[in-house]
Amino acid sequence: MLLALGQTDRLVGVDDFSARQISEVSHLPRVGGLFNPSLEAVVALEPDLVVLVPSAEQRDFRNRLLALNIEVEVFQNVQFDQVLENITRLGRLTGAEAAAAERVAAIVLTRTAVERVVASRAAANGGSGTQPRPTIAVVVQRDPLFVVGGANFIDSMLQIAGTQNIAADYREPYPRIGMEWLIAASPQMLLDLSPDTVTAEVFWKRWPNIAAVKNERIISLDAALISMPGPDLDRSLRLLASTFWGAETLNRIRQEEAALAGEQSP
Amino acid sequence: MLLTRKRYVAVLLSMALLLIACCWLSLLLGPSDVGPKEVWQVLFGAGEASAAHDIVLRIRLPRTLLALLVGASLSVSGVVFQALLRNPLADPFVLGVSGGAALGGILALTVGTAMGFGYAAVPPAAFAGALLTTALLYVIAGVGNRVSANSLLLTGVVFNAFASAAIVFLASIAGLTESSRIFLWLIGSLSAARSDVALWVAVFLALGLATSGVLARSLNLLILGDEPAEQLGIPTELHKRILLLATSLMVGAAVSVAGLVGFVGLIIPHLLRLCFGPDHRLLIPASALAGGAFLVLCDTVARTMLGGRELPVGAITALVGGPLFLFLLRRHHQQLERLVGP
Amino acid sequence: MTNSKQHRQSRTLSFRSVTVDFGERRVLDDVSFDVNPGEVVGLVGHNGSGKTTLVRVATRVLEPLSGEVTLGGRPVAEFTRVELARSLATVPQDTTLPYPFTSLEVVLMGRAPHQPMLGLDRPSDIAVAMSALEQLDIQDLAERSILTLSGGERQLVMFARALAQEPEILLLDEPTAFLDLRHRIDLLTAVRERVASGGSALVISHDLDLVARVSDRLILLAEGRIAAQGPPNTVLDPSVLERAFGIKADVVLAPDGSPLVVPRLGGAARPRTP
Repeated sequence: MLLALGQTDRLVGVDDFSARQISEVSHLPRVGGLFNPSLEAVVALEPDLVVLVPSAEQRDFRNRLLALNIEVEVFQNVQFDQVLENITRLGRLTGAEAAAAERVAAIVLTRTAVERVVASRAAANGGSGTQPRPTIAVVVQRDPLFVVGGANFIDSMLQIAGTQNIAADYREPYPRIGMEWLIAASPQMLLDLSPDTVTAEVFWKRWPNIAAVKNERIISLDAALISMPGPDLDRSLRLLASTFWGAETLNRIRQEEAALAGEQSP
Repeated sequence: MLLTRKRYVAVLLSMALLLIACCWLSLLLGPSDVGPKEVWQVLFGAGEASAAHDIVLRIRLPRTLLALLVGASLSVSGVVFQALLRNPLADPFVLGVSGGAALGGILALTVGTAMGFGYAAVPPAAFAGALLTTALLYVIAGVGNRVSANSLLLTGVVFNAFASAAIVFLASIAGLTESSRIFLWLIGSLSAARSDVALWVAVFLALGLATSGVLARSLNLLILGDEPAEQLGIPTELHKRILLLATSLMVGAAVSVAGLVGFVGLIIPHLLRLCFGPDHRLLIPASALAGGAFLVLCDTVARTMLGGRELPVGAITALVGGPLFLFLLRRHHQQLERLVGP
Repeated sequence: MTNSKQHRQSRTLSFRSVTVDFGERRVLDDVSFDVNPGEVVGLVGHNGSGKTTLVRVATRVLEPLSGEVTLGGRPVAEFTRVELARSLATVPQDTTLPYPFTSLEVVLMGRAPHQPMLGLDRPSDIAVAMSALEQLDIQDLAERSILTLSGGERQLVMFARALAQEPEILLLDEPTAFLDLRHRIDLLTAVRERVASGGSALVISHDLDLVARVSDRLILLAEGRIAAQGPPNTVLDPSVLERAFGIKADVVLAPDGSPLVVPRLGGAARPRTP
């Protein structure tokens, strides 16, 4: 997020995970793992502000930083709306409110656009009345089997993109389920984000009784593209929608966005 | 109680029935709505492919089978190690073979996947780890002519410590995906159940069972001590080595597929000794059956307790086994106190 | 009550120039003696004089540095382990077991050299085991777990196990150590009965008086060598005892003519009022 806000220059250190994922910051000094950063490394860099994603191990870390008079900001980053709030808040903290607001507006715009496109598409295909949304499961890891659950920004995106997450009733972000349950639930679409040498199509062919396999609606994506809750939610939304509904959907989304933008500007 | 043919048959028959009942229960229960009627249809009715068919035959059945095999392997290993080491607190993991398997598996999980090998490489790597550790045990503890219980134990303890340290190291540099798999390995899980994998466990279980079954009387006599056993005509060194090898392979196979499922190898031998006496000619086959039944039951609970979600079976065996073990220990002490005074 | 089965005549167990080293220490030095059929040989000596080691060499648990042990003229090394187990039975000093076997089960373990590798105990085995228990009058202990027995009772059970082995020769290491008077007599009576029906026995003991009364011959070991051997009255002689044990003792005669050793306690004696 800080990158999107043009704040790269002010970053003095990152965790290992971010450094691996984002090439622009990989040259920065590392301070340890995402969930177990090194107190010493952080303090040595003399930051004015430390930005944290909260977890149990880090509560202690945060308290110790505070005790050392270093400012800490904690960002709960799981729900869709939380992400938007975080962008705004970060903008305020770094004095980049304008950039933040712009980003948030863009995401909101895309969200509305996608919703409209998806709705009109469903209406066109299904005729009158409300068509049930196709069910989907998003597999984060195959063995053991982890899927995207209900309290999750990815779940929100699935909702926006016109699908129904079969695991939406689980209130945790990534519940571990049994394969049996997945087969019984038989989602109509399956998005496989797990990294493995065996491709998704080959792997899921072993269970031909899942609707998604029968209908050949197994989609494989690189997890990094959509699983990072950050400022690129609009790009993720577009990617999901076009993956689900076809390339021409992308064009229609763009058209819709332009239309909406036109409506909004004076 | 004396081991007569009648008792032998009666005990084994009842254990076998228990096992069949548990397996049946395991086939009937699951997080989906596939109930007894459908299970029956799938097993004995027309063979049409459907979701129920997949669930029963390709998920529940292999799981049940694997739980049976792993449970039996761990129980029999527990019995043999408790006899060889003349220590009722020994479990299949005490000699470090499982540590080697865990290390091999986790190396494959972390370094291996980073190098491009898929997750299918994990069980073979784990088994290789078990083999290497067994060889190490032989070399170090078998120094000189005698395989000494103390050297075995010490080697095992040291190796386990080393393996634990290495695993912790690997776990702390592992990514999120690998961390969850490492955790599951360390606590024991049967979620990777597939028929081809089960075959290997079956092979080594058969080997271990046959060996310890044939040498059951030797196991009885070894309890007297190495020298008394030799003076009764047992080639103790030969038998100990054979038993050690067969049992280590059995443990290695089970662990490389299911991870470190705890308490089965400790509790089942104790319980059965309490109920049926310490004669290994009965204890070995009985613990195979009872151990299989126990793990099948635990895995059924693990699969169904939380609805769609799945718990690792090792969590259940620990939850059940821990308190049960404390109870057994207390009872043992109480019995002794009553009879011989505090 | 003796076993009705006819015991075969035992062969002579011969120790020929047996020498054993434990590292630097010479535990046995050129020891030679025989245990002939029909006799009870007592083996006495100070702690660490090598008595237990002799038994271990005889059962091939230990290899001597030089010398050999023969049974009936044939070196013990040429027997298979099972053959040897059918002829020699030992009762060790340590009798603890970590698992709750019953006394009968433990005694049945003595039948192992006569049993095939696989299979449960046959009625004949059970009969021999029960008979051994009865001989020592401990048949009530048959179904008791060995963990619940006293040291003395365990010792008797272990001895019953040796009897159940139906050996030619009994090698007994401190068999009466924990036994009360009555059971000492029972045990030694059983030994005599076994010897009378064709076997022989080697009895190691610190109880000089008792072993002298049951043995036909006595062997006194000191520092790994035979210090004296012969009839008990000859071996239990004050000067011999002083050299072997380093203490002063008087030897008096019991009513049946056996020697009784009365060590002079000196400072250890209870003060007496005149």
